[in-house]
Amino acid sequence: MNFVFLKKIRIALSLLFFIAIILLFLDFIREYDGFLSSLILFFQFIPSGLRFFALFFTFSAIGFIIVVFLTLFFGRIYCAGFCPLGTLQDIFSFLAGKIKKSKYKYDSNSHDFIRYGLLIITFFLLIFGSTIAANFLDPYSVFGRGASNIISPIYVGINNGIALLLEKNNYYLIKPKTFHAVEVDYLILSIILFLLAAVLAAVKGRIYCNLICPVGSTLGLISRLSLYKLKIESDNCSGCGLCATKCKANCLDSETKTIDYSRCVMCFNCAAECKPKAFRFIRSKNIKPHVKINNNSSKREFIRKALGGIMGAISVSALIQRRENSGCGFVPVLKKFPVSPPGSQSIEKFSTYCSACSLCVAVCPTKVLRPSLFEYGWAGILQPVMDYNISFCNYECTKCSEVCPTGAIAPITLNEKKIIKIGSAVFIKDNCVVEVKRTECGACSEHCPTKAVKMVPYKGLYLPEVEQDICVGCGACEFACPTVPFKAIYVKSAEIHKKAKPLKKEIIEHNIDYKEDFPF
Amino acid sequence: MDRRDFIKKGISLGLTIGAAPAFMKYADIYSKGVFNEYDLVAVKGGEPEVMFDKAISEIGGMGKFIKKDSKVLIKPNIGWDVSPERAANTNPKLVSRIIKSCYSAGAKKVYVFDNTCDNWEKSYKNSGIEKAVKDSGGEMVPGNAERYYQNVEIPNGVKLKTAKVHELVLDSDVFINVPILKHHSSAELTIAMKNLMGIVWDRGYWHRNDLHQCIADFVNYGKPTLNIIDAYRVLSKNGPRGVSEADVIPSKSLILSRDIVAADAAAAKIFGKEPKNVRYINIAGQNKIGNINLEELAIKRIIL
Repeated sequence: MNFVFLKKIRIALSLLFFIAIILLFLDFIREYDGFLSSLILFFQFIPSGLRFFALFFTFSAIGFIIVVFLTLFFGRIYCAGFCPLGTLQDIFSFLAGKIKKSKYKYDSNSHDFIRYGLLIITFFLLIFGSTIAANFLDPYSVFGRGASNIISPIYVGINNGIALLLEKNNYYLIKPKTFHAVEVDYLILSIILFLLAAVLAAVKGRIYCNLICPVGSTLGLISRLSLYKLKIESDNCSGCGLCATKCKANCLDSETKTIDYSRCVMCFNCAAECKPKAFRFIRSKNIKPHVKINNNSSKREFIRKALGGIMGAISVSALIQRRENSGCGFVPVLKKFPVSPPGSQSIEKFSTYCSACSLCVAVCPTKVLRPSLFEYGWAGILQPVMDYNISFCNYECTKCSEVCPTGAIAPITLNEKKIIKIGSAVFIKDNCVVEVKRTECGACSEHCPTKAVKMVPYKGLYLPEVEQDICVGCGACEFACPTVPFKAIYVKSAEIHKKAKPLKKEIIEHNIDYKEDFPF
Repeated sequence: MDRRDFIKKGISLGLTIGAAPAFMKYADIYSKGVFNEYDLVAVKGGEPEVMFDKAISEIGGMGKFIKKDSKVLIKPNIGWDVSPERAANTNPKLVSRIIKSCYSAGAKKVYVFDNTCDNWEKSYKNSGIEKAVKDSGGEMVPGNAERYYQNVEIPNGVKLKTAKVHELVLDSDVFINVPILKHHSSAELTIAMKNLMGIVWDRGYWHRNDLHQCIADFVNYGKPTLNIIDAYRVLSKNGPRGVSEADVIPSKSLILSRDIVAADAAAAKIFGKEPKNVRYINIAGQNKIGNINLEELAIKRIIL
């Protein structure tokens, strides 16, 4: 067995996924997002698992089952080749190794209490319908938040910097990009987890994977039973102990020539370095091929459950801006529930299946999606919410549903999206410019893509009126409404998404005579 | 001193010595006497580019307005993420033909932008204007960041005293306003004057503080060199965004004038509205920004 070659394949595979996922988050390959993201994120364990249940056992979500089977055959190759956070850790380990020539050491303590404790907590929370722990600890989502909150802003900053330099010389070649909105707390949180994994990796190897990561622990349990395992042949081993110093999972004991398979991430670093070629990748003798794995099968019982206390924090509609005293907009707007993106079907379902990876936030063209804080309740922290103070949902766009790896935002066609009612516009007459200042405004109606908000004659002016049947809750009216501090029109969330009526098309009768003279 | 400082200082200097603001500077070189005998040209019954060619030749060609190596800014309406057939944005064929005609008149560079309402990248793309501009050698400029906009003062503004205006407007030698004639839910109509809302940053202020008055006030800041109104397809209801192609009437008309008020008045007539009943046109007419009384103008009418 050529382990040097195996290691090269592992590195190539991991870098391929790593770079592809980063490009996805930087919105690089926007034209083919839907297809590519489903391809690139196919094997991501937790998103794929969530998708399986969110979309009712769809074929597009069997990635995690394949990963389970691969693990049953070859051990934790997900950790070695597919996991972007794993690759990130390897990159940091590699760079740290260049600087201080670090050597790893076998750790006899596998910290089962911590890693299985965290796994059990995650698992039970999932059973009770909360993805909070899975969201926090899922390596792909941790990576995604890092990518959208650290890597993406750096990229946007550099892009805009170059754009600015060129603009100074009147070249408008590079399009300036918009930073997506972030909550400061959220930013700090995602940076901490992201950097924690990276720094731990630089110091001690794959600590995150073997101590914290619920996917790592799950696959660790499965890989104990895997069909093929790495073995050290005592006959060939010279006992030099080099292999143990290369083991970034700290799971190889060169004294007893044993490997803790539950921690081994199948990187082949040990075997590739072995001078006497003592390593073999062979069928495990004590294998029980058709064992039901408790932990995994119970994941299948994953049920949708009420979130209990979604008491969305009351979000005050607008920041008081230091602008001219407009004299209107003083009736407070109180929002009870957050608005979830079209395709998510209901707040409850969305909150149950979203792993908060932030990919939708990263690719949303209007940047109306932002990570939430407590809008979905404590259990839904970090899951994205539609913020109509920042922007509004583009009527002709289904991007978030195309990229969502977990199915929390189910795939929808554009025609389906156009009649999904995610909320209803509510008009507050006492905040409206037309009522208070008696001048024309109509910004809300102007922006409305369905003309659900229309202007009706009112005291010699035009006043907005909402036709609920055709309002889809896109938030264009709320965004456009100019009153401060509170808006005169806002979107009230539909906890369970509804269907809006399709638009009526009334053909206008006209018989234009192009030879007729002008009316002036 | 960087370019923006230069512009800012230039503007404030210009205002203090009573000179015309930047985008008028070139327009004013041509006094009425030098200019052609027609105040307004109206064309009907052709394709957008054909109607434009007719109209511009009637007033002596683009060369009348464009000196060699000048910088030209074209401001179409690109407000919405909809296709050209929906008539919410200026016709891309018309924009393309104007750009080409500017280049043949000796323009050094032609820029195009709008501060869009829908997402700017999607609006630029789906309006067909981005492609039309690139294909005809013009440059599509973003208008989506506040940093592009410079503070200017509006002389004689009743409600609107200052506004933030896109740097290209301050920076260009020639400014060509290319709106589309549309129904508007609150302003009644959106034509040439209303189209200038797309060169400013904070439109919310206008909406809060008497929309009609602000539209009329802003023209005091400066008038475009030329107004070319696209009325090939006219959004007759559900404006300014429209809901479907069913809202569109194929009027196949075009209006060209240096007088922004006259242009709006003529377009309003085509739409079937009395100009005096559209408040901002009426205010602008009363303020003598332009002539609202079409019977007082020399109009060239062409029916193809």
